[in-house]
Amino acid sequence: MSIKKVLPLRAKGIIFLLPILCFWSLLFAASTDTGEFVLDIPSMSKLSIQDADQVINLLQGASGEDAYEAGYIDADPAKPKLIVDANSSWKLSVSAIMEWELVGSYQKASSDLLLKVNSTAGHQTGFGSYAPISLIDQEIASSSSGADNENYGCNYRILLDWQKDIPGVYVIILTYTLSTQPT
Amino acid sequence: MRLLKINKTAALFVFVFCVIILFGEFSFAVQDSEQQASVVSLTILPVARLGIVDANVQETLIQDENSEIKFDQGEVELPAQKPTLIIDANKRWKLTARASGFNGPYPKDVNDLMLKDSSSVHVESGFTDFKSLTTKDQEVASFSAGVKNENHPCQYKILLNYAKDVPGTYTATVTFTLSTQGA
Repeated sequence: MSIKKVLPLRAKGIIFLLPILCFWSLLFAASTDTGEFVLDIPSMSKLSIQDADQVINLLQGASGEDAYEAGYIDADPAKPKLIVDANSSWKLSVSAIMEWELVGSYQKASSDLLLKVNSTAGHQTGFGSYAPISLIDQEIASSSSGADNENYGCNYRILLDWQKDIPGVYVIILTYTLSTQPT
Repeated sequence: MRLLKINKTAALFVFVFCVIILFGEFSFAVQDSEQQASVVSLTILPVARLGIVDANVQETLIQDENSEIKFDQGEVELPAQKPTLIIDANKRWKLTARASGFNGPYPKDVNDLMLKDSSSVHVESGFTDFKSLTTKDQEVASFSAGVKNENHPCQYKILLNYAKDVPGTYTATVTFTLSTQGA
């Protein structure tokens, strides 16, 4: 094989290897780059409740009489306690799912249950003073940003009337709803 | 033919890519919502409250013509609306009255003490006019449902008899009882 024939062959080999070497170096360069990590977080909210169920006994005696005279009886303060967590704008609301259960044929009105909410979170929009509950959702608090362990102490007050509120057991169920809101 | 195959593959790839993108957008748009229930239970027992205004009533007969007239009439009426009873009850109720015997110079007949209830409603058993009290409870008023702040202005009358009622101080205690009725 003559030298003339050998050189062009080597040149051809070098020309062929160069792109491979370049590409290889590119691969090494890419492997040292920072990787991209993608985490999709949806709108999330969490509503916790403590001391959810409240039992009130109107006693036969001065306390019961005084409650009727005052026209109401209060449940234990700050019970239940709601705890709000959310990662985007949110709204906390309350409604009664039904009227009071019948006592005999007597139907006590849902508006005889009043609610006052105490919170220092700064997002309270309603129920700063005692206001009646209804079957329609009413806003307690809302925010355009997230919330972390925001506490809302609820205080129940039940209106009493000598002429209407006969002896018996009165039960009503409330629903607290925490929902994230479209921005 | 080969070109068509490549186009189909490309179209499928674009479709899958679009679905992923849309699903991602959709998952961000979904809002979160949580609910918690709170049960409020109020137990009301039968409660009644009896108030009394001007409970103690006093009358002095002096030596004058008026006293003679009263002895001639055989009776003396004590001031009207004394005492006044105030009734509250959250169900069917009954008001009764009984008198202790007279304390005085001689055992004056307890029936000589009479009572009238001038309330416009719910007065029973003849107490709309003066009726003698006894040492046993007699029904003065009643009603089949609860009432609030129902006033019963009462008045006493004492029978007089020249032959029996010697000078002196006569006292008697009247006990009013308000009780709820029925199961």
